[in-house]
Amino acid sequence: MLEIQGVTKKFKQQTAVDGLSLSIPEGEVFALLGPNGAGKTTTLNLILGFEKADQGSILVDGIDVAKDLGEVRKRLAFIPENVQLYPHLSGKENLAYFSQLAGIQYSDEQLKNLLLEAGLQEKAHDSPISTYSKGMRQKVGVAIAYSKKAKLLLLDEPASGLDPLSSAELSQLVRKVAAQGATVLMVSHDLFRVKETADRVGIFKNGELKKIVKASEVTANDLELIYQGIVV
Amino acid sequence: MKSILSTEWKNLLRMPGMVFVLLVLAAALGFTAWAGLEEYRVVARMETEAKTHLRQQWESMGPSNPHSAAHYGTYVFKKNHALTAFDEGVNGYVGRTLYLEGHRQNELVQSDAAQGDILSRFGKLRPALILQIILPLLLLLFAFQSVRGERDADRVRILLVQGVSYSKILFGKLWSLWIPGMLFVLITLGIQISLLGFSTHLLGRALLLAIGYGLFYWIVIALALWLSSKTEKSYTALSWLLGIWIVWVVFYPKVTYSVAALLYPLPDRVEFSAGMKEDRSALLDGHNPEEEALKSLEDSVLQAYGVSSKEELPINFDGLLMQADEEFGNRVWDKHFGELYQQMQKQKSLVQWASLPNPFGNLQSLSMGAAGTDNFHQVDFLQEAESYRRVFIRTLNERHAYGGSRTGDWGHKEDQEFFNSIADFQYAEPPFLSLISQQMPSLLLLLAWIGLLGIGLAKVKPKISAL
Ligand SMILES: Nc1ncnc2c1ncn2[C@@H]1O[C@H](COP(=O)(O)OP(=O)(O)OP(=O)(O)O)[C@@H](O)[C@H]1O
Ligand SMILES: [Mg+2]
Repeated sequence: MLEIQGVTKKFKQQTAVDGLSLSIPEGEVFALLGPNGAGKTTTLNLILGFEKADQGSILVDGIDVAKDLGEVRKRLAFIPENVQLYPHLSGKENLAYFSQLAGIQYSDEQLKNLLLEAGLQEKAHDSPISTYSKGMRQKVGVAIAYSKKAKLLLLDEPASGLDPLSSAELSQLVRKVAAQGATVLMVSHDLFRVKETADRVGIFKNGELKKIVKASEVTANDLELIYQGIVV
Repeated sequence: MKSILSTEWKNLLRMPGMVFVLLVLAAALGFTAWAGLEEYRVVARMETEAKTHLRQQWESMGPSNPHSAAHYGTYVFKKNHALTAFDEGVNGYVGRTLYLEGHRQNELVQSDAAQGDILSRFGKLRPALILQIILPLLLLLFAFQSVRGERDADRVRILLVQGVSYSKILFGKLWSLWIPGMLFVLITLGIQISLLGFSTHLLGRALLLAIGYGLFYWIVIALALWLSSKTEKSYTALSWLLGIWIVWVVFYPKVTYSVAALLYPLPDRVEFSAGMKEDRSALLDGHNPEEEALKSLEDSVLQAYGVSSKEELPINFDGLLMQADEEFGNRVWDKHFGELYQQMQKQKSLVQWASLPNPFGNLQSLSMGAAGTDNFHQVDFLQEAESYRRVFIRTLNERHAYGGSRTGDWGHKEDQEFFNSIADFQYAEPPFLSLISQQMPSLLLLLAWIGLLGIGLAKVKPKISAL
């Protein structure tokens, strides 16, 4: 589903992503785990087409991001680290708007079902998003992904700022999305949450992918690798 | 596009304090529209009354000598254009009543004419003031806020991933602000015009006003959207926008008017009359029949009638003499006024073209022009009044000459019927087409801005704020 081949991205002197190669099959939840400044967000931006790779190629569902960004974006959904949406609109109105932008017009009933599917309780559907918690806003984000039947869901630090309960709920939701056939790439520096959510984990530092391990097999050794140099 | 519009409107309407802002704006417009109409009506009524009264006096003057009547003179009024209720322009402080008299070509020319356009802004409260300064400022702030919101809340990426282009979002925002802005303009104009009474003439001018404001709002909103998308930090755009606004509205007009006045100076009123007097005294004056030039006129008339003295003429030579003097005075006036008018035109076109970096200046010029309250209209009135005065005085002089009296007979009286036959002054405003050609530079400059900003909006790349 996602094929990244030798991708390098430099900002002036700094190399944010350095020769990254990665292949994620359909239905897998993959987590890129790395410290601040590792190049995680940059990697997502490269896939989303907001940054252009200096070298290498990125294919989503067999389509090259550099060649047909429009087609690639049809297959993508993205939930940024701090998902805000339109604060004065309700969850349902936000969902309706974003799906209209993608060219889909849903009925009220369908919108309701999408939000329920994403785990947002019905009583919240019509309140303005400014009253939502981060977890609730993420659910609207997931509903947007559902609404466009995204094949690849990208999440940036989904667990940051969530309490353990919401965090666990989110893990379940992500697993459910994957179980329904979508591929998920999440980036995070939270090992615990990643272990709970992902199938495989890529350990990422200074723009380089150091190691790929099964989530269940992430060891203290790997942890050390990650945190070396960050903590004094 | 429809969904972008409706979402933008929901966002706007649900902004805290929005309803209050709209209410205040509507109230301010309502009040100024009413005040403008009311004042227009009061002034128009007073002028009509004065006019009727003066005409009555004229028509009940009784048998009189034509020359006394020429000195009795008459008043003419520049009928205010009805749209003065919308934009007062220079009307607030230029003379609109002229006293017309024999051998006195009027000197009531605004020597500070070019300054007129700038002073007008501090005139009375009119809808134009709110629609030129306050509403566009609000549109500018909302446009900025709208882009800032997308950037700072990191919505840009989510929007674009949905497959919509950034320029489409920007144009959606543009129309979402432009349409309500125009609603305010159209409703204000609509209400004023329907209360003033429809006429094609008024509608044409209202249409020109609407076009002017429409172009300007487009420019203001597009500029704000473009700049807010362009700057590295979203709030930098706000400083830029407010800076530009102040330059447009305050500094730039002052500078261009001062430069125009320096390059094409106008005589002040004292200089102007002194110059006219000098040229006039160089030749004949109807009350001093000793001049040489006069002699030749006398000779030719005597010759034509085959008599040897003025007293033998079957006509009243004094009438011819006064008309000759009058015509000389007219030539002097034409020369001086022509020069003044040319200087004013030069000033005006300099200011107009120098407004290239200042669409606000173009809007002002368009607005006053279309409302019939700019200097162009004032000067037109002066010229019309002067033409009327010439016909008026010539009629009286000719009657003096050929009305049956003899030279030196200052006591001869014409009956009331003759005086009644002289029509009152009716000011007809300049034709719509000359108005359009006068305003062409402003329209073209506004369109040039729209072209540039349109390209800018289509090309600008979004800033992805979150790292
Ligand atoms: N647009 C940019 N211009 C310049 N440098 C950038 C830009 N985007 C990212 N960088 C740099 O690239 C490096 C990687 O940044 P990135 O945001 O991808 O890290 P990250 O892994 O997401 O970190 P965090 O955990 O803090 O979110 C950082 O050193 C950052 O300063
Ligand atoms: Mg990041």
